[in-house]
Amino acid sequence: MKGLLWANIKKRPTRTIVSIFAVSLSVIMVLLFEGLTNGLIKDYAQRTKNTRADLFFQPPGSSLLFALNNATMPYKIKDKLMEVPGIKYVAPMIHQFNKKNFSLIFGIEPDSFNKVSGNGLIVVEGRIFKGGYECVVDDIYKKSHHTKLGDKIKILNHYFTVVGIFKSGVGARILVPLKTLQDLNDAHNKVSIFYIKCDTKKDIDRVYKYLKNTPPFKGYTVNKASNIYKLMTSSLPGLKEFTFVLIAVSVIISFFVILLTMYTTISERTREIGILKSLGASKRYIIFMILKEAITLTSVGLGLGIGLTYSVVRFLHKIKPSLPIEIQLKWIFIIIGLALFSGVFGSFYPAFKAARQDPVDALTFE
Amino acid sequence: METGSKELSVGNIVVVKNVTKIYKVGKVDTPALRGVSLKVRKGEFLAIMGPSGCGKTTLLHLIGGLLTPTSGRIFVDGQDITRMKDKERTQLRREKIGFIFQRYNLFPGISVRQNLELAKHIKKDGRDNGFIEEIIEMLGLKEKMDHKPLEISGGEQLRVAIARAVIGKPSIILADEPTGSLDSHNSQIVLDMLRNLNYKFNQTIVMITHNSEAAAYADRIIRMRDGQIEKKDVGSVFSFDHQTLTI
Repeated sequence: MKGLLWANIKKRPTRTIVSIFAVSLSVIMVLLFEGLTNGLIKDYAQRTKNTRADLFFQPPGSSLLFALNNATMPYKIKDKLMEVPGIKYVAPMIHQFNKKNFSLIFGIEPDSFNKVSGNGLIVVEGRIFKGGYECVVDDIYKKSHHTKLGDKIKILNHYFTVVGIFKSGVGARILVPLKTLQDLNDAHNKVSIFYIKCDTKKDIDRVYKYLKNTPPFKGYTVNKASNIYKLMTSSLPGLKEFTFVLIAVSVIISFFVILLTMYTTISERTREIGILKSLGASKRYIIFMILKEAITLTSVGLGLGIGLTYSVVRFLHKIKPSLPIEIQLKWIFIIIGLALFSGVFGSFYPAFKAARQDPVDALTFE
Repeated sequence: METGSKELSVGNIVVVKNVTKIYKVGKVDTPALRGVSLKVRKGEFLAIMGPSGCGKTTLLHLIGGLLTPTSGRIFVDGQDITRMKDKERTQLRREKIGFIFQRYNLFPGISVRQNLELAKHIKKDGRDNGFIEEIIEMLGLKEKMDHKPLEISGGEQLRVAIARAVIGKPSIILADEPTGSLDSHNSQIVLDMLRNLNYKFNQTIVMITHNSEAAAYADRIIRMRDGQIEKKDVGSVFSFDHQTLTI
């Protein structure tokens, strides 16, 4: 049985290779997309969490991930927030998306940022910026962009001088003075988000409820840092829909590839199926034979796809260390399940067609 | 069921009763068999002769359960196969029938050994390999087991097809012009082997042939013409009494 299976698979090597590659491409597509979105969100969430802020205060209708817009909140809200019982520190910030290299830039006040983060901003080389067109970058940015002190980085069509390197893991990879970013956005005395540190952990819920329900804060968006990962995944518009479409396309591709492969295979092997029937092979035997072949092709495609995905991830990490890609084990299992599902269902019609063949017609097939 | 009827109880392994087979080609009915009746005794070597298109292969396929008759009854080993479901006929083929085709019909992508193992697997033959080894030895295939069918001669391929047919120790071997593609020397070797198998394992053989020399190896010859049996019980050089048979 095994011998026949491998002989059939080897009979048309080009078709076999194309089928295997088509399945593996679907696998790579889904895993890389998931790895990239998951990695980006998780990395951003972790870096935001590392700022040790307890709450995030944003303009009405904002999402945490998309606080990357224009600064619209008056800076002076900071003073109002500081008056709320239970709030210890408030750090006003602008989150800016740098289209040029697809990265995040935070406009911060080092003093308030350090207070919220408990001196979490550790400069390992150079110094923190003093103002104007100065910036600091983290060690991963430095490694991936081969940046050194004194280099110029173009942000919003302006060149910033790198004056310091800070330890990665806190906030964005590039930090610039809040005032400069306000000027560049023409948003004087405006910010896009406030990071809030509460007096104690017990105060978090109380402050959260207070800000949600008490004027003048009522209507603003308030989020807890403990929910940050969930908030980010749910706030990314269309992520679920896009993931669904991507998976559906991947499953459909695998389904049709296996269907076509097995259909052409059994058409070519009509006579062989007739021989099997003359030997006494049952319909079930023939169906299983075709399914086994389809599952073998799918499994090889899956293995190759998973292997190639990890190779691509390794390659991407090598050429761009700042690109966070995290392939979750959960998604490996999901893609194995989906690929096998499409492989089995793709081969159902050819398998049943083969099993239903008239043995005499099959034996006289030329 | 007529399993208890007289003709089934006197050692007939195949009983064909007034069988017709009509093929429908579009709207045209093409009769292949017109009321054929035939009995084959257990352990008998029967040759069926006749011109092309006379219905020999159709009759063979009907006995083997690959086709169902338009009318009439066929009993194999006491079972009415015309009333069997497809699944039951498959089981009958698996357990009681061995086919040998003129074109050998071996799987070209796998070795001789794998061809035989595949048949054993399908036939769910869990017996020890002693019988298979004996057949391989008897058919002179020992040295060819790891060759692929296309790497061996036509005569050897036919011997593999014979080995495959007898591997599950079927009660009946149905051979469709087994020597049709062989030269006379190889035909003689193969026919000797078939005769030997028939003698040694008491397997019933129904063989279709155009060749009267091949037919002469059988215990009995019947001739067909235009879908009917023309002449029965033509004698052979061999006696059906295996007790005194010499090859």
